[in-house]
Amino acid sequence: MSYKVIITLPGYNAQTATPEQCSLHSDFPTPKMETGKFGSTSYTFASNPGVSTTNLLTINHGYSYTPMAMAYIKFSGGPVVTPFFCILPYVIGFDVFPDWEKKFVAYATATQFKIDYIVSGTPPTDPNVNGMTVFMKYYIFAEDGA
Amino acid sequence: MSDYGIKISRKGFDVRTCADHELLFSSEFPLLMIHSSGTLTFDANSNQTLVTHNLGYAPIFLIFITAGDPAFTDGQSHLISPGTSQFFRMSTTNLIWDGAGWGSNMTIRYYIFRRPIETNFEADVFNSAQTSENPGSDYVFKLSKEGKDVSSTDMRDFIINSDTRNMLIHKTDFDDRVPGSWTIDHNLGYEPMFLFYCAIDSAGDGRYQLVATAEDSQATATSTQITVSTAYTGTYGYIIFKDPILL
Repeated sequence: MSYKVIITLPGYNAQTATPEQCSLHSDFPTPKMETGKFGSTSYTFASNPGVSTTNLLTINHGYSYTPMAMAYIKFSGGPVVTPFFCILPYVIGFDVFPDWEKKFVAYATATQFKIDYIVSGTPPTDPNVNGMTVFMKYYIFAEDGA
Repeated sequence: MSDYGIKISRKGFDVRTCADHELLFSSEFPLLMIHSSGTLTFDANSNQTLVTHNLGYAPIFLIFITAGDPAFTDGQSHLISPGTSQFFRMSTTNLIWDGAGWGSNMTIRYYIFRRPIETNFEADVFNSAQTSENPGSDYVFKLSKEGKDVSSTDMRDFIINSDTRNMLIHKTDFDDRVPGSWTIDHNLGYEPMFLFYCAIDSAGDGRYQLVATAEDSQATATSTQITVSTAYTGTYGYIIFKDPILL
């Protein structure tokens, strides 16, 4: 048996409205975040990393699959001129394409969600992130990410 | 003119007093609805159509790469980056890979949403003040997907579930821009989640790409505005959510 739940935006008729004119439509799921699967944290660099991967955040997400995940970050006390929240990945400068030598990244695996600062290749000294604080906000969705 | 409406709060919040972003949904503003999703592995050495959606408009979309991006290890599911976003481009009919010569196969998870990038919409701000969650509340509102049991504990089985946060749309719009920066007012009083898309004029085909964060193009949020800066002339579309970045 086929049924629907449709709630339209103001001024639209539920019997004729398109999905784009609806607030909720039971044919179309929405990305969902469970309590405990989103949060915020910060990390302050105690030195300027060389060619390495610095893990800023690791979350055991508890799903039995790789979930869809996103993160926003902002910075203070350092050379990266983004004092307001922006979405990850964040590539610093115009480095070697396509693997980008300096970047902040967020990703999910089958067990964890991570935010890393990756320096690959040379030169690793510019920018110097020693003393810089990274504020991170992460969202791990129930939907599949792989 | 209609003067009725319906709203349901997330579990633990009082629907009479809670902030807009603490609602499960409201008939005053839309949810971000998933039109289609799937995984693909393709030969990234050739330009090709990845998904045909036939929506008749370029929709909001997200791409997560799980293999074939040299900036990551295979198995790390990540949102497309400045190095890859320029090659995943959305038209009014198709999601297209435009990065011929990439050098390897690529595997992605895509989400196409039932929402045109080119939409002018702004919801009212009814209440932006965060309230306290009552962990003792024991009610729930759920709609399961067709064929799925409403008693499932797998949140992927639901259209909507009051045990979860959802993506509530506050404002969307689009405009032609030249290199430089500009601001967009949102009046939410907190830093909201957002996504940006751009159809770069030099590409000449009107297809949209997701704007990732790099020094040549980025968007940042404050409690009152989104600031966008870019080095490229084109049409920029955005979607700002009720959901705060910080909570």
